[in-house]
Formats: sequence, C-alpha cells, structure tokens
Amino acid sequence: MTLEEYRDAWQGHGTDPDADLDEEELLAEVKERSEAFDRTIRRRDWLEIAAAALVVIFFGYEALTSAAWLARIGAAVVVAGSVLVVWRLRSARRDGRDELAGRPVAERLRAELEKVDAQIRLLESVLWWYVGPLAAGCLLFVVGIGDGHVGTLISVAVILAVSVLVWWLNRRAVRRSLRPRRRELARMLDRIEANGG
Amino acid sequence: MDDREQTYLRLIRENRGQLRKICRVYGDDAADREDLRQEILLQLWRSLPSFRGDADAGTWLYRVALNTALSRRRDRETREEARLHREDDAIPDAPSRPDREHRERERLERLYAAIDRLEDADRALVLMYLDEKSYSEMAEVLGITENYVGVRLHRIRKRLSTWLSEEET
Repeated sequence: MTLEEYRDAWQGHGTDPDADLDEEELLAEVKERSEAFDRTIRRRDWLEIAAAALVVIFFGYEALTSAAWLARIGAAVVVAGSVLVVWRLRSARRDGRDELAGRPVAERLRAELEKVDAQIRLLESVLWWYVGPLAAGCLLFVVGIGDGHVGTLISVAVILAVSVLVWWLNRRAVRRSLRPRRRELARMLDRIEANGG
Repeated sequence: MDDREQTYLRLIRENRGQLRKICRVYGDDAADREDLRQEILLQLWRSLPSFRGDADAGTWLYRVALNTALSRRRDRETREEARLHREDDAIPDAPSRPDREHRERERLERLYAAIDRLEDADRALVLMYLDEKSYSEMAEVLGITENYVGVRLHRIRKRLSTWLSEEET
C-alpha cells in the first residue's frame, strides 16, 4: 500500500462536524479564559508595582529624614535599585507572544531563541542590576542606622546570605531551565531550517 | 456577534478537521489532546487581532496551531526528562462497524504510529503533505524555501513508506 493511499484514508477522517460543539458556548469559554489570563498578568504586574512602591515609600522617607548620612545614601540606593529592578523586569516581559503565534514556525523559533538569550543575559547579570544595588543599599542603610554591635552584624549577615541565595537561584534557573530550553529551540530550528531558510 | 467573533467561529468551523489532526499528532493521550485543543483555541482567539491578512486564513491558522503545539511540547520536554507513554485512543472504534471502515481505521492507526516516530518538526511537514497543502503553503507556514520543503519531504516520505511497509508485513 502506498503513502498516497494512506493519504486518501487520512483525508476521509476527522472532518465530520463536532456533534457536541456549541459555538456560543465555545466563544463564551474562550473569551472567559482569555480574560482570566489577562487578569492574572495584570494582578502580577500590580503586585510587583505595589511591592516596589512600598519599598520606595519606606526607603524614600528614610532617605529624606534619616539622621545618619550613610543610612540616607543607602536608602536612596535601595530606591533607585527598586526602580531599576521593576523597569528591567517589565521591559524583559514585552514578548509579543500573541502576534508571534501567527508567524511562520521558523520565525517564531528565532524570536523565542532571542528571547531566551535575553533572559539568560538578564539572569546571568542579576548581580549588577538586582542583587548588587539592593544589597549595597541595604548594607549601607543597616550600617548607617546601626550601633555597630551584634544586631548590626546579624543584619549584615542576613542581607549577604539572602543576596547570595538570590544570585545562586538565578544561576541555577539558567543552568536547569533556560540552557536546556535554548538547546531544544536551537535543535528544532536547525531541524526545520538546516540550509533551507 | 462582532467581526472578530464571526471570523473566529468561521475559522474553527472550516478547519476543525485539521485542528483535530494536529492535536492527535502532537498530543500524548486523549486528555492531553483536549488540553492542546483548548490551548490552540485560546491562542487563535488571542492572536486573531494581529492577523493582517498577509497570509491565507487557513495558512495563518496552521501556523498558530503548529506554533502552539510545538511550543507546548518544548516547554514540557524541557521540564520532563522522560517522554510520556503514548496511547492510541484518538480514533474511536465501534465493534459493529463494517469491514471497510475497520480496515480504514487500521490504516489510520498505522499511519499515526509511523508519524509518532518522526521528530516534532518533521511531523508538521507530514501533516501538511497529508492535508494536500502545496509546497508554497508549507513553505509559508514553516518559513523555509519551497526547494527545501521538497528535499525534506522527499526524505520523510521515504522513511514513512518504509515504516508503513514494515508494519504491513
């Protein structure tokens, strides 16, 4: 039996109408899921902005009113660092996913590959735009308001430990998730394009 | 009902068979296929406003469906080391069906089993070949040249034919 004969069998099946397809219901369901998706994204964005706003209000107030100059500088660094973090995260998320879904497969794969590369760069440089500024600001603030005794030392140790943990978690995410994803994307793109793109 | 809703329903109506087959080829079992179908339907709705008519509506739908299916499998394969066991339950069978239909069903089972052995990217080409898409349509969906479609398809067809002959004997 030839492949063409198999093709005839293929074309004869799967074209009968869905007995249980209610178009009104389908539409209502798809719209509800789409709106739920948008709500989730909006909620995440608002939470992120609210958390940053709280940090900016608290440390902004300290930057203006604290008695110690070192604490003022530290608080100002934390405020600037928080703004930088929110800006970088939000600009990294502009991915145009819905528009890309209708592009040719190879083009979409290339776009995804670029996005993963950008994410890798972002997480690998987390020390400079996330951990570093916030940790440095917090350290200056804690030392500025502290009395140089055990309490200050413990605070410094906690800040350093949390910073190292955040840095390590980001490195691990690159190694365990993004690098394998990149390899898979590159492999598939190579498979589709080879020398035919 | 507004334009977007009408276009969406028309697209689904006109391409339901292709959507079903894409879900069958890229889904692991019945539940997975249904999840994939839901995901494709959602993505089609969300992407519809960005459809500018630079491609035929059927070609555009094929792109969205394939991109969604491939992306979903990639995400999962990155998360999971082991591939899930595939179940062959997509083509419902009734014991009382006449012989001809039964034979047809067996043919399809063999064909799906052979397609399952292909790489994800190659399955996309075979799907379009079986749906009698032209080389230029295949090239438009995948974003490669028509020449390369021909070369690649020739190799895949050869492999499929070999596997199917093995199955028959």
